[in-house]
Amino acid sequence: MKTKNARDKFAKVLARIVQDAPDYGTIKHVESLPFSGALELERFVLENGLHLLLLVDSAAPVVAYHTWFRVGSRHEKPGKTGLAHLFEHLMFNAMEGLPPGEFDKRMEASGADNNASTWLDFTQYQESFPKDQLAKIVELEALRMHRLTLGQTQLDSEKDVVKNERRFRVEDDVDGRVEELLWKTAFEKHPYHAPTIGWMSDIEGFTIDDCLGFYRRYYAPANATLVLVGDFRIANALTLIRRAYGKIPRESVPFEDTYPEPVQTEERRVEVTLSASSERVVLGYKGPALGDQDHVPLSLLVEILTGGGASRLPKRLIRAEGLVSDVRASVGPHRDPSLIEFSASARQGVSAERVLQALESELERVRREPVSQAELDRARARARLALLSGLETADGKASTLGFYETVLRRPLAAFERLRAMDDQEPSDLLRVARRYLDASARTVILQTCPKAEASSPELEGAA
Amino acid sequence: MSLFEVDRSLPLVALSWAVPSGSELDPPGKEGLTRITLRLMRRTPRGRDADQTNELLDSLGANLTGEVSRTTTSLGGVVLRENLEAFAGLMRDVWESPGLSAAEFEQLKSECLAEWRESLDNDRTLAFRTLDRTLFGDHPASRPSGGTWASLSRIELGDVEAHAARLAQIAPRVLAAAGDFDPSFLEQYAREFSLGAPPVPPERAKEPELTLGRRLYFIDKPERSQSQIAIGGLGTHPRDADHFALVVGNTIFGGTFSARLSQEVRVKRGWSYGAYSYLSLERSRGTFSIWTFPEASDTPACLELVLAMIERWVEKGVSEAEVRRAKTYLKHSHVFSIDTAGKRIQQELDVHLYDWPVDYYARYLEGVASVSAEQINAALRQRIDPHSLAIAVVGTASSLFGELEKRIPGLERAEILPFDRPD
Repeated sequence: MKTKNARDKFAKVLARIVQDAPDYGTIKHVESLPFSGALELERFVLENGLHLLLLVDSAAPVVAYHTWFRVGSRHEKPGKTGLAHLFEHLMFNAMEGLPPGEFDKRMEASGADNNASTWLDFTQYQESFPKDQLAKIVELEALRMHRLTLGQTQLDSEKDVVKNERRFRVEDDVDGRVEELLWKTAFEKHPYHAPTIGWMSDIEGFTIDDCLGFYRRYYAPANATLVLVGDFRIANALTLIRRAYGKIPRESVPFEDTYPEPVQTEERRVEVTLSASSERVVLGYKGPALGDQDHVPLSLLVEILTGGGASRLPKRLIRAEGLVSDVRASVGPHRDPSLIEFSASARQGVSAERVLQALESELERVRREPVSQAELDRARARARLALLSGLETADGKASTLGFYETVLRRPLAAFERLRAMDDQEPSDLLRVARRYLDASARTVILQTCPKAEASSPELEGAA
Repeated sequence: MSLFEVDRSLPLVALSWAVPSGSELDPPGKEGLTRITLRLMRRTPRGRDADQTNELLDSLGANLTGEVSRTTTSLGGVVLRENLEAFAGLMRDVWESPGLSAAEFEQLKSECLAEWRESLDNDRTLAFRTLDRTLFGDHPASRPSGGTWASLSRIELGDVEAHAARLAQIAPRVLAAAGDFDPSFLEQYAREFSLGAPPVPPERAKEPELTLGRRLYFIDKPERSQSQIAIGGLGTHPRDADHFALVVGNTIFGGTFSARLSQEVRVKRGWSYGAYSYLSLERSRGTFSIWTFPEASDTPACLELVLAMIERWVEKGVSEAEVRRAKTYLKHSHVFSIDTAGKRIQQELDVHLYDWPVDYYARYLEGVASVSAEQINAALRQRIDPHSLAIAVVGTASSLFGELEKRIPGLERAEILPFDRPD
């Protein structure tokens, strides 16, 4: 949505910024987008291709500063899984002029609450800090975008840290192991097959060359978007950012060589025995990409099935039949088609098979008959509450903008989705249920317990 | 009492009621009673069943949850602005007409037991639950707010009915609201709601005391590839003269990524994804605790290192440079504890519920800025006893317990607890 007024309102500011420091390349205002209330999102782009999304929000004297790279574990090859995530860890280490540890010390001296995350489609770095610290943070973030240095000692130590993170999230976590098995089984060709944290043997094998190659390929300005939300002046932020990032050379964005997942035509079922308090079921139906129109009605359908205590599956499986202690579902929010997931933890003495039957009968019901208007209205209200609750802080706003910008190239897609929800009818939900909740395109993981544990007595005598 | 802050930046209202008593009210042997009572009240207001209540909340675009700590009980949630009146009415029903049907009670009790059992799969929860149970010996602070399998099993509907009546009598109740609302509506609501609630001062347990000696509680679980370690002892209270000194001291030791613990355990050795220390704040003296989770084979060395670091921290103290860095961090990051109306109101609520100095948060920055290295070192020697710590480890005993017994200096007690019977 580019408007003439929007272009005009920054023309003088941009001209002055370039005139004051001509060696840092051009800067263009691309578009103005209405956010919520009186707030307006502005998009700019530097000559090297770095996109900036700026949202001035003076509700608190803070700034949220996010750097989103369009690289995630989907870009990894077999044998090199986990590289995007390991590299995210390394981005907190040494840089030219900053020995190991100094980056974090400077961030902390600015009062910055900083973190990072990697998932299938993206890697993001985030800080929130008092507004008077903006100049320091811009310098630090620009430095690590193009002046990171890697040493063998840091790499070895960070590999050990990531291996321990994997033990924490996967090896010693029943839900983590079952989840990993689901995606590994459901995807055979597409890189969503591999976990973002990587296989243990791959993590152990990474070299400095692997990491530097990854850095050069993917951490280019044209492959990133900066998202700033908070109490700052746009002209000042543009001046600081252009001077810090403007001389980073423009690199071509890497060509993505990804195979689509072949159509799944029959159910895949895996049974796994794990030491756990109870049995579990996880189902993964092949679902649409986040940008697909069907994602919105499916999200509402999943809300009706598991969103809160009044939804169908908790009502039946937890309350009416007492089969499970927990049941959840989600529609994968990913760039490529992924999974509609259902997971349930059986109560003691209830088999995973029994839970699967109950799940199947409820899923069959939404394929057979439309949901009620009241259920649909409640799902919409819950979705609205969830979106608004996530926008309370500057950091929450930046996360929402950065995620949709990176996955869909539409930073305000969260609001678009909310509006699209208002247009959905029960018939739309019936259609997507019939299209996607198809047993021949699903993967089933049944987690059972070792015999001794499955038959362990009730804990009546425990103190 | 009412605490309000209007903020019209989003069409939402956060509303909560709280009372200054919590699981300390649970009778011995029926731990978890306050929590299960509040959950049942939330499900069955004005004779509804849980499905009807949940449907009403969803239709309002609202969530409503109860929280029970040792000394506080609160019921609150967030609602779309246009539905505040109906939401406030529902919350009032929870308190004044809690319903408490027998069928819903049996349902809830069964769910609580199932949730307790599922929590056995979370090793970190097991470690901290065991730490909380063992820190203060027989003091009421060691009794679990969520209950145990046995205590939850013993709770009957009559217990819940009597407890709900007791909760309704405890004063003062505090109403807190932040967001986009008309203050006159909530002022009137608070006046009407507070009628008929005579002030009954809650009974208070005496301050918890330090249990002397190092004690190892090893929660035995098969096939663990890493260990969850939680270490704890007595900490601080906002009324302590050396409170801010201990806050800065803890920041230096384990409060940030650049702090000593994270640097030694994670950055230098790669032993754990995280290593941090915490000071909890409560009505009585809170706890000082540490959390880290190394690979199983690194556990003895990691635990040995952390214990030696605590000793060194207390005996040798902190440096001026460390103090400067920590104070700068605390000064600059303070804004994130007050950057939303909800957080600001929560601070006021905490001060009232926990009976902290009324100017505690107002003096926070000044308090932090004024402490010296000397004061911090004195506070560490006064408040942290490196030789009187509870150590909870979740791991596989056959490969670790004996080694840990040997490697922990000054260990006075060591026992193995089966993971599914940690109580």
